[in-house]
Amino acid sequence: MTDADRFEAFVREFQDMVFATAVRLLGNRAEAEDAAQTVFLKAFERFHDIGASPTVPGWLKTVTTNVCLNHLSRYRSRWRLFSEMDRADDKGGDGRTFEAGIAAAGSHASDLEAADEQQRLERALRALPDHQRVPLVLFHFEDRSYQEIADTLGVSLAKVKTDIFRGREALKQVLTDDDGPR
Amino acid sequence: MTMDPADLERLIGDALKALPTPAAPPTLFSRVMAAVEARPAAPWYARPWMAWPRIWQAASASVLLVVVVGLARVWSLTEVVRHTLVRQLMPSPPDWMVQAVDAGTAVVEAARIGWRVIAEPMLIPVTVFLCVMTAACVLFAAALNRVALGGASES
Repeated sequence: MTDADRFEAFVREFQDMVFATAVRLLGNRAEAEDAAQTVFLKAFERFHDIGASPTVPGWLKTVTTNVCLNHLSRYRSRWRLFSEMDRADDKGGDGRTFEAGIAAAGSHASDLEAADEQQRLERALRALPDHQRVPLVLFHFEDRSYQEIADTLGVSLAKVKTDIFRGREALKQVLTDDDGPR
Repeated sequence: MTMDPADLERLIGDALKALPTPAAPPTLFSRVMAAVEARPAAPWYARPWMAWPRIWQAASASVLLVVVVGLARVWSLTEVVRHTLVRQLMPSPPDWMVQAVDAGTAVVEAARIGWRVIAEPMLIPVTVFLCVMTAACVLFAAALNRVALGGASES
């Protein structure tokens, strides 16, 4: 197997994991695809060192997280500023307000099945404002502690806990709407 | 109804963990491969040092070491010249300056002694050993690639 074949197999094996991490952090599929491409280019540069390493999934997740956080801080308004402003019309990664995202997701509530309910939750997660979605994803999907998230994002521990709590409250609406009486 | 924060964390955590992993779009793989192929083939010396071939890393590190040692020797040779120039420019230097120069000279002398006693005797043998082992690894890898992998592809 040549190096090119090994790298192709490497990309096929980890592309879903990298893309999933990116799309949940960025809340936007197009940006997530760009970020995933950047991650794999970085992996290609170091493929001789990491290609056969058992820690490569962790390395990829760390690099993906860093690429996404750099993207969020570089191309969007400082999310710290947005979290402090905490306006009622906070917009998620797709440019829609959270309420609009829920409304769009729930427009076919009568025809939803379990898989659709999961899609609603996934869309609701992406529709969260950045300052709630990012720490929520880092906590629940990357298994980072509150303190680690605060250190990574450069904000206070209290801010992380508050943003995560608000994000959970917002997602709870989706779950309780799914379970509640219609 | 307000939910207990721990229950809320568990509810959301379980729901999120149950979500299927979003699949990468079919375009991602082709984009990555195209980007890799489109990368300019930069010569090895234009890449970061960590990306250099091992033999060139060893060679550049050796050259740097030789340059540092050479500069140290040149510095010691010019010490006499510097002392002479200082005496001509400042026949009666203040005490603090004399003490500072003496302290600096003592530090340099201690480093020089340490180099001569500990490092210098090992320098050449270690350098030779590293070069020999590097060359041996390169030759072995080339031979393995030709004999083992090349033979396998022909069978």
